[in-house]
Amino acid sequence: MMTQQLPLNIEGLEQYQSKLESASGAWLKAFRQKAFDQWSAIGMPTLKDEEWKYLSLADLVNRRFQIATHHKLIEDKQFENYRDKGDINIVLVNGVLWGELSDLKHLPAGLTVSSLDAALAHNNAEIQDTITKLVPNDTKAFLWMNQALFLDGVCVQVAKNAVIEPVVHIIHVTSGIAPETIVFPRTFISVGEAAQVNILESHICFEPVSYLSNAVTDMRIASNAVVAYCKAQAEAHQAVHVGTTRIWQEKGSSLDSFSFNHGGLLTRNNLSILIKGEGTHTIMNGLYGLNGNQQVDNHTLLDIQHPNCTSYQLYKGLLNDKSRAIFNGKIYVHAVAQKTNAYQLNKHLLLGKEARVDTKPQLEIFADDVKCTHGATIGQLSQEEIFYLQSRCITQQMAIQLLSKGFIDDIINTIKNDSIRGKLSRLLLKRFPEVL
Amino acid sequence: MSDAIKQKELEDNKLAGAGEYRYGFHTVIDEDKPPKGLNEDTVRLISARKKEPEWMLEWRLKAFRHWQKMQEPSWPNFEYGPIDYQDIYYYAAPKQKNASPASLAEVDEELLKTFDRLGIPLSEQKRLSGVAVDAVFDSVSVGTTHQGELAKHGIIFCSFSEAVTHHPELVKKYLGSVVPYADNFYAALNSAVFSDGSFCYIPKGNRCPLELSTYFRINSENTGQFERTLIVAEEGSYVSYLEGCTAPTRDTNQLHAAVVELIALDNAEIKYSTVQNWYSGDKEGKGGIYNFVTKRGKCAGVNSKISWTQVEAGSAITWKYPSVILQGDNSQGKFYSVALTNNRMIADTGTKMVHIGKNTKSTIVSKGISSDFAHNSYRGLVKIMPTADGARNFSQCDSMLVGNNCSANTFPYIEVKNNTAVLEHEASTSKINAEQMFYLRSRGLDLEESISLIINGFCKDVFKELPLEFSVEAVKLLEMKLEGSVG
Repeated sequence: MMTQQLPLNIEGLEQYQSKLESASGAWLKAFRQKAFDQWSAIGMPTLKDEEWKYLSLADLVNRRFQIATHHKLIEDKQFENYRDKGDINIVLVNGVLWGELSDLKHLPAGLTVSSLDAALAHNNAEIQDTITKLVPNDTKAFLWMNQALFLDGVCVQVAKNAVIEPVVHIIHVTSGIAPETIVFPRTFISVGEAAQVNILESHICFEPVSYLSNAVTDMRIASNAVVAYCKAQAEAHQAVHVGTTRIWQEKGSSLDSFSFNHGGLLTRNNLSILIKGEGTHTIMNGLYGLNGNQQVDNHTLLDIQHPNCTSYQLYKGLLNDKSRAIFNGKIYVHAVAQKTNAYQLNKHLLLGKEARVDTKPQLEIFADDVKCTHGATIGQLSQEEIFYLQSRCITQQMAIQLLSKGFIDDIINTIKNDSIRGKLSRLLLKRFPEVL
Repeated sequence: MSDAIKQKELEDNKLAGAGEYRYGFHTVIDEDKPPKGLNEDTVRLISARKKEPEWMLEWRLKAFRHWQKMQEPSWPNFEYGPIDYQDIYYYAAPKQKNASPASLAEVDEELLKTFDRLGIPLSEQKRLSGVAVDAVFDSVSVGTTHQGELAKHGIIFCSFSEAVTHHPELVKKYLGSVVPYADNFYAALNSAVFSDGSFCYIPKGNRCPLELSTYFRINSENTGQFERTLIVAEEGSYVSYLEGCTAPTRDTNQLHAAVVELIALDNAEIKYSTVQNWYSGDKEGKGGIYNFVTKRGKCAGVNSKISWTQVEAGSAITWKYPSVILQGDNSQGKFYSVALTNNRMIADTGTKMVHIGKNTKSTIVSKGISSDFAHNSYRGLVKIMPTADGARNFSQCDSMLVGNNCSANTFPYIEVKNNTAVLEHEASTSKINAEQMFYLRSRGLDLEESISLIINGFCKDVFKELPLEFSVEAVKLLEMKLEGSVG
């Protein structure tokens, strides 16, 4: 089997795999093997795959990669600036949980954090059940690659009825790697019945290096739980980030999610939310602020399998220079999911002359008693609005800044938690000093 | 109208009253029908029957050879029975006593009767004054009305075969210029075996005084209909063109793969309206027409306009995307569509608007109504090329679901490569508003009347784009189709 051509060119793969194998239990071994076989069989997606129609991975396939073996944080000043003392910081370096940097000692009651490796070694049935049952979404190739090769990860569990006040900040930092390395950040979150929690998952890197981050996050939200979840991606400028987020929402639960894309040369996000119970509420918001040659591809799927659910989705993109955004939002309403209300909107502001957008909001509806709408707009700043501000003695530059900021604030302000919002605003300001 | 026809019309109306397909009758007529099967000889035979020049045959053969190398598309989100391309009659022409009738008076009475029964009077004295008709029966055009009057204005309106014979220079210049023979699987098939269709040429600065129309009738069993329409509007001209279609009730599926090409030069305008009512199969989804059509227009000149208006009420499967290539600066493309599906019908329709010229504009309004076990999809593409400065698009697609076993999908693709473009897209899916229903019912309207009124309101934006006679017909068609499927 090892002799066959693999979808990606990875040096020292066999060694790495045998190391993985010797360290893991029977369940995990079988799980990895199955994923590896599937990954080898399916290969990397090409432009001919409908789900990858607009994002070319040709460059990735031609590169030679290695897998991260050192897990130590090098650049720590900027890192310290990034995290807040008031949060519960959980730090993973190149996919491995780093106890010294994390606040694991004084966790509030009801919150458990452990390494995913350890959790799986204890044959945790809930995790095993969830990660097998969550259907693979559009990034099958990347998901299977992660399942086959991930080394560790973090497992965050919130107990039944627990209310966690501070933000749980999971920081995946990439550091100290050689160029052309692959990292596999993996996160598992389980929120118990009627629990409440605010989670921020950051993917950051402060070193100018090129790498591929293949991240997978699985989250199970039990009935009546209330979760705010934000994924902030601020990878290095040369990095490729492919993120798969799979969320399972049970009866009466509420999820307020936000996807923030900021760094990386090429980013692909797959967010899929399965509605597994009645009366859920889901918010899926997102923002991408791009410049230079950046490309961001957001694919979202909301699969509504039960009645009386509501969902709101707003994704906004600010595109500077030659950047490129791709959006595909799918809402799938099954025949039993009556009384569904689903709203989806995707807005783009094109500042750059050569910026490019491909968007496809998509509805597939099999139930009749529903209200579903979607919309998409693409445009540049209105000349009239700029003129109005200029006639009020505001310079043109300032007017553009004000209007762009208005465009972004509209979506940033949907984040209710101050600490999270503050961090995202700081990141944006650093990237768009002349615009914002 | 003779008594016999009146009698038949009464029967048809009775059928319609029971929610049945009223155009499902079959005309018994002698046919010239070469054997089934598709190979180069079939292509040669069709070309020979039509007495075509050598260049036309060459073009067909080129298309056929290319088609052999192509794969049937597999991307749609619906399934249809495998089509055996060797089990189809590619040519079926009614045998007429007079092989080439010089005028309509010489056309067989049986054929004229058929069109009378369909509500398309061809006989000179009964014609509506405002519309010129080209009537296509299976593989051939049986007659074109008002040709003399149109000729006075220099307008050419004839069957495609006549055009190949009498106006080869025009056909050569424009055939395949919008839909090349290699465009897609069904367009290639059509290019190889197309049998007839309409050709229309409006000379410079001319406003066509009549509505032009083509009526397509599939009659023969197991035949495929492959017609081709080509409309050229020269500088500053205007034409409004209507298309209607029906077929008999049968258990087997029949393939209809047409190609329509429109070319609008500087300041020209083409309005193309379709009321498609092919037989859609019975309640269990047995039989019906596979309507796999390629329609595309090119706004080649500055300030040119093309608008597609369609009411899709028939066919087992409708799979078509009338598109506009907006090449000339300031050109405009419009697409208005109502797709009504009931029983087990499938409609996958939409449009493509490709903006190339500066300040080009496009409008898309699509209304889908789905009931029983039907699937209704809007699939569209709006593409703004880097050269299309100041392009503008507005799209709206609304779906209405009647009943709990049907589905409505929207797949809008939006590709923007120019930052001066402004696009808006909106879509909604919902059911008939209970409050509106209650309001109408409380005013004494019965269930079906209320639904019909609401649906008409829902589709009004599209109906108002249709020429008057068609608009009335479309409203009636919708009422008829929905009868019995709700409540």
